[in-house]
Amino acid sequence: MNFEFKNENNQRAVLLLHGMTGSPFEMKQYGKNLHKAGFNVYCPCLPGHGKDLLNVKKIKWQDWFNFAEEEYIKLKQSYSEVYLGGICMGAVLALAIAEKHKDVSGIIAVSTTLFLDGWTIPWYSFLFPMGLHTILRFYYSFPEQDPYGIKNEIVRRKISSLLKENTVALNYIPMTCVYELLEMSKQVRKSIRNINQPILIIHSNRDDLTSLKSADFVYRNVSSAVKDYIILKNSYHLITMDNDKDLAVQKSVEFLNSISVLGNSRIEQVC
Amino acid sequence: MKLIIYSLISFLIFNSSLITAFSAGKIIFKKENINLNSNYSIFLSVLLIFYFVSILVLNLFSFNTKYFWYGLILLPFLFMPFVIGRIAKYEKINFYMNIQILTLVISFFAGVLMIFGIK
Repeated sequence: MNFEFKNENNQRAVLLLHGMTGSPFEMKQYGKNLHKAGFNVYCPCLPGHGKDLLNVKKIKWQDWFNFAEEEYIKLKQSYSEVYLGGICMGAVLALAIAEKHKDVSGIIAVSTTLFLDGWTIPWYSFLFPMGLHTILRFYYSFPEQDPYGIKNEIVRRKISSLLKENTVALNYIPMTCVYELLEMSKQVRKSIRNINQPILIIHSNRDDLTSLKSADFVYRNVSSAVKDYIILKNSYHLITMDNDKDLAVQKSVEFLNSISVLGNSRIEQVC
Repeated sequence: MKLIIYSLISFLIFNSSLITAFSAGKIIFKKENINLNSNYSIFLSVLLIFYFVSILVLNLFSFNTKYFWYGLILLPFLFMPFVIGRIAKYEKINFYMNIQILTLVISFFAGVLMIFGIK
């Protein structure tokens, strides 16, 4: 599940963090393209995901954070510039790490999920407090439904069939995961002003899981001197696999190269 | 007085429904059927809302009467599901489910004693 794409003699690395109940699979193409553009790319599978997917209900957000932080520290020992990139919950994790580690060179936050207010959130979401804050959260799960965060119909069909096998992601989202994500989001929101590293925010205005409110919140509240905000129009939540994936890569590479102190060690056309 | 009795009766109805539903949930949730579990959780959420509302209504009606302490006694039970939810762990979910049912049973008997107290 994990993947690493390395270039020799390169001091720039990107740590990619996947989304809630997802897997590194959803970042693989994006990671490959960053690698082509001259970055070392690492994408580990978060605790409770991958082969361990069915144990996700036992995981606390601190487990995700500690794991991702360890991965970051390991990379920082080998590379002089380490960037964080994340999608969905991975973006929230990236923000959480950047709040704590001032030596993070830059952040790419894709479909940041600080609030669950997208257009596929069920009508009965007003009952969520009952589900989230009582023991019912251990029993309730959102069934993953069409469109699965993807606008591109070909990719959506592929993901749909993979989801049935629970291999690349769960075909349901346990409420415990949502609870942990929202707890982590709460912490990130509290101290988001501590983030002063360069940041690129990429979000779709048709995101089915989380509206632009999350991205707006990040953009307005981070203290970064360098901050870019790109709103995409032809994707849903899983931007790295959707219609705008090439545009997302292009903007990410431009952003990373623009903030890199080491400069472009190898620039390629990736799109 | 009548309103207090009616609100106590509604509290007992929702309370006993919750005790039954949570007890049945112990069997239903074991099947690990995602859709069934989710729908049943929604049903329990709705029951919990009615349970909370009945406690609040009792507090409202008993406020400024000599029975105001009935509402006060039941008030902690309003927060118990959230307290249990906060401390619960997946590994010991059966234990916490039993605690949840136990608190409902205790509040049920408290409600029954209150009705006898009024009469």
